[in-house]
Formats: sequence, structure tokens, C-alpha cells
Amino acid sequence: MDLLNVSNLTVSVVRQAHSAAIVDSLSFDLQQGQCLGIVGESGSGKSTAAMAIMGLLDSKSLNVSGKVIFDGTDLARLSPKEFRQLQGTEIAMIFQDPMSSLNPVLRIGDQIIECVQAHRRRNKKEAREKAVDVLTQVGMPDPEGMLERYPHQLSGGQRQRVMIAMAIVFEPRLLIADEPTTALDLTIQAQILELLKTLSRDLNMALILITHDLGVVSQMCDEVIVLYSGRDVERGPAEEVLEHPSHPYTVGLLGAHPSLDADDSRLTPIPGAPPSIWHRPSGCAFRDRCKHAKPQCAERIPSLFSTEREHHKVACLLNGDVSMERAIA
Amino acid sequence: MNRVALEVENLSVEFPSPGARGLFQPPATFRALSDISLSVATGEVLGLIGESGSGKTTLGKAIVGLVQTSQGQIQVDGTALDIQKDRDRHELARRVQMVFQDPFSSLHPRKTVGHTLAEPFRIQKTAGRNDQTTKVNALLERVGLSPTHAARYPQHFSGGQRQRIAIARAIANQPSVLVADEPVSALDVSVQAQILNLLDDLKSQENMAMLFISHDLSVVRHLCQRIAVMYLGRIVEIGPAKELAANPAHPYTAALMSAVPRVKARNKARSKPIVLQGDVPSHAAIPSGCPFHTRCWLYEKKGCPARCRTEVPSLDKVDSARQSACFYSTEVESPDNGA
Repeated sequence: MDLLNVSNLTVSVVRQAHSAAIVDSLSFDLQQGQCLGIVGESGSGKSTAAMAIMGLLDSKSLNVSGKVIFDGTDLARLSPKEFRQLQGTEIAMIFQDPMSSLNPVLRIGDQIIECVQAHRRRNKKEAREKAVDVLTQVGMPDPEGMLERYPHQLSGGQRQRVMIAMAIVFEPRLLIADEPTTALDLTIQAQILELLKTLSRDLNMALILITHDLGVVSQMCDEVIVLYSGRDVERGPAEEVLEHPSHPYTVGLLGAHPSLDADDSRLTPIPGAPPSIWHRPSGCAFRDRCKHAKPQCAERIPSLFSTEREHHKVACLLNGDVSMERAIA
Repeated sequence: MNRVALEVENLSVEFPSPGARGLFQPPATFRALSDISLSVATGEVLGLIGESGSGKTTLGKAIVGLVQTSQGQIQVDGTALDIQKDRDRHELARRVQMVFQDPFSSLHPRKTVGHTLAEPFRIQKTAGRNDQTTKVNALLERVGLSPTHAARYPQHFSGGQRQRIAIARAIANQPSVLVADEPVSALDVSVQAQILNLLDDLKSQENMAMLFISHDLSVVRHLCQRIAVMYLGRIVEIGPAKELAANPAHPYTAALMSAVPRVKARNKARSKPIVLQGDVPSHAAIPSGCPFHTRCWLYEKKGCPARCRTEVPSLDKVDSARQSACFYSTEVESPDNGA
């Protein structure tokens, strides 16, 4: 059975009787221990999708529809209290900026202890022991002493380790990591990615990794979903998608970033900028930046269909042409 | 070889260190940059890489005259300019310009783009009132915008367009040196490439020397002819981009190169990245000897030689074009061919 089953997840915002989708009918499955990468640029809806799964969106200002089934339970049917029990124990999340996710005036120890006690009845001493345990598990130097420190006394990498420690207190079965290394230096990023990999293996924890970096996806993920303007435009096994990208946007993303190993060929940028959710072109949202666009692209939103390879799906009317052109080039 | 446009010699910058001190005590200082020497020729792009706190931005600012240097000399087109003197500062602003990381805070929100771009001409008196508009329009076209954009305000532009405007402002008076401090870090990948291509074009057309500061190694490797790697305020390795990336001569460079998450090349198994332990030490407690030895994988592999803890390695020649500050630079294996 799938650990997580998301179907037709749509998040839309309503302004003056107009509605626009931030995330548009996103569906995917995730198995135990698997790592899924969600890739996209700013405004593609990748963080919003994660927040929706976590149940962290404000339902007053946003319309959330679709089904999220976690381990056989439909999350929408849970009472707020039951949902809260699940958040942080079975499903946990870490964010991009660890400084703004930690309380600046509380010691690290108190914050982890609070997290332990929020879900389980433990006395202070037990909770403290648990805190030391998890800090050791995330490879923090001097875990005992760390309990007495304040967030500002820690480096960025250490703060992110604290966030991860708090997330794995109850050995969740799903961890959602929203750009966990974007704010960190390269050598620290390597440390944190390795830590996430080890933890996911040791705890048999599924991981949803939200990132804009295709290199990170290649290194970490089994599956990948490419989001553009709220819709998944391409998905499949990570290696497969990165080696044989079939959507012009994915091809564009790969061509736009210089590679460390390649020679000084000129970059091929994608012209223009991603559209705002209020000004999406009709039909395929990517068509006015796409060099392959044909008149029929404006007529309807392309749905996902399989390429010649199994499990590799792409939402482009011209799929065949694009891959052909790539093969020639 | 082209003419040397920027020459930095033995430059050091000190900042007062934060923290308590007695009322009558002189402020304690720490060294943000120590003993930096480098030169950039016209038409050349020198990439400056390093992690946060390595001093790469401070070096950029020192060259533009935005921070006070405590030792050493900066020469632009063969002349040393003293930013304490008004006339020299004016001259420096004409010859050296900077593009900042965040195009959302580096443009005046209440001035039209046309006004912002005319300012360099007004200040340097390089265009009269009449030909200002023509010059501004030409400038806009050169960076890939249209003259109709001159009447708009920065808020009407996307991040990539704003960065184009910031670049236009910097090149208005044909500076000899352009310092670009993380100019594409705030932009999305698809837009980054547009700006990188623009900078690539400008460097040859404008015949200026460029110092490109970035933490993104693949971007630096792509755009720059030479790269300088900084760690804790020092240059630890400097040399031609291609060789430095393929065959590092400093263990820190090797670790940086191997830490870049790459899209896997087809049918090519990659060796395990070198993961450095711990964080960059703070400037207040720079380790003795080689500042990198506390995190160095080669130091451990060699059984912790005492020399690394006691002696500061100088930046020595590895081959004709390359210098590295490591006692064991010949024993650094490149991340990909390594064991």
C-alpha cells in the first residue's frame, strides 16, 4: 500500500470573484522509504503543495480541494485534534530558513522538550533525555551543551540540524523538507543532504524534497515531479527524467544552468519570466516562453501522458517533437 | 595578454570586533581580509568563490571603495586612488562600478528607470542635458531592454529585468573594472542564464575587467577565465578556471568542487563527495597555522602533520599559472579521478 496518496490536490485563491489556482490538480503516490523531489521555480506552487499536504494552509483565504490519504486515512476527515496528533509525529516538516523557524528567545533544549511534551506525556527528565538522543542522532557536536544554547549562538548548519532533530523526535514516516539547504553554504549543504539520506534510510522514512536545484534531485531522489505555474509538467524516475527530459520547460531548465564538467558552451536561457497566477496564458501555461509552441497549444491545457518509457509522463502536446529535436541537437 | 586593469597588492582589511570593551580601551579588531594580492586584465573575468564569511564580498567592496582598507594597495589602470580624497573618489566611481546581489533593494523605488540611468552621466558630466536621453536609450538597448522602459519605475520590472537595469547603470560610463557581487543568486534558474549571457557579452564588448563574486561554482566555472578560492579572508588557490575545477591543488577547492550537487552524467559513476566536518571557524578564533586545517581531509589523511598547525602556508606557485596555499598541494586528488 502507498504511504501517501495525493489526488487532484488543488489550492486556489479567490480575489474579487476571480479564482486562480496556485496548485492545480496535483496527484502522486509515495512509498515507504522513498524520496520524491518536487522541482520548480519561485511561484510554481511547490511550497504551497507541501503546506497543503501538511494541513498548514489558512482555509479562510485559500480553497483547498482534493484528497490526501496518508497510510489509509483520509486527512480531510480527521478532526482538527486528530490531525494535530498526526502532524509532527507521523508527518513532519522542515523549512528553508532555520533561523525564522526557531524561537529566538528560547533555549534549544526547551524548544525540543516542548516538542516532545506536546505529543507525548513525558516528564521533563525523560523529555530531556530524548532531546539529547535526537541531537546525537543528527550528528550535533556536544548535544548536552547544545541544550543550553540560544538559536543565535548556532551556525546555519547547526540550526538546520536542530530543526531536523525536532522533526524526527517521533520517527515520522514522512518528512517534508522545503528547500532545506538553500540558505546554507555548499560544504554545509553536503553535510545536511547526507544527514537526510542517512536518516531516511535508518528510519525507513519517506522524504518529499522541495528544491529548485536539479543537481540535488539527481543526488537524492528516486522520483521527481517538475512543477510549472502550479501544474506538474513532467514526472517520473529522477534519473530517467534528468537524462531524457521531454517537456520543453525541463529541457530549458537543464540547459539554463551551467554544468561544472561541461565546456564553455553558451547557455540557452528560457526567454521571459514565469507568469503570475492571474496572468497565465490560455492552454499550456508555458507556451509563450516555449520555442516549440504551436497554435493548438493555446487551445487546451495538456494533460499528462506517458512517453515511450514506463512511468515517465509529460504534459506537452508536442512531446514527440521535442525529444526528437533534442536527439538531433 | 591584455593590459592589467585592476591590481590588488597585499591588501588587508580590519573591522572592529563586536563585543564588550572598556571605555578607554582601543577597539579590538579582527582581520576580514589578510594579505590579498591579485590582478585582473581587461576583457578578463576573475571569479571569486568561497563560503559565507570568506571575505569575498569585503574584497569586492574594498575595491569599489566601500570599505576602508588597513594595509596594501589597490591600483586601477596603474594608478592608486585614495578614497579619502574627494577628487580620487569621483575618479574611482567612474573607473570602478559594482552590481549588487539584490536588484530589489539596489534600485531607487521612487525614481524612474530613466532617471536612475541618467544619474551616472550627470554626476560624471559625461553627457549634456540633451543627449542624456539618447544615451539612456542606447544603454537600455545594450542590456536587452527597450527605450520605452525608461519612464517606468523599478516595481514594474521582474527580478531579471531589474538586474539588467542595475548592470546598465554600472556600465554607463564604461568603467575599467566591474565588480559583480552575486548578481544572479536572487534570480530563478531560467532567468539566471539570461543575465550570465549578458555579462558574457559585455565583458568582450566593453573591454573591461570583471570581478565576479559568487558561491555557485558551476556559474563561476562557466563565466570566468580564472578563479580565486577564498577561505577565512585569504586566497587559498588561484588559477585558470578549467584546471582549477578539474584538478584542484588545494584540499578546500577539492572539497568545494565535490560538494556541488550535479545532475548525474550518463553511464558515469561518481565518486563519493568529500564531506567536510563542522562549520567555518569564526574570524575571532582563526585556527593557528593553516586556517583550514581544522576541517581539512588531507590533514587527517596525512596523520595530522604538526606543520599544518604551526606554520601558515603561503600562496606558492604550483605551475606557471596556478598558486595554492597548501604544503601538500601536489597530493590533492581531484574529486572525480580520486580514489
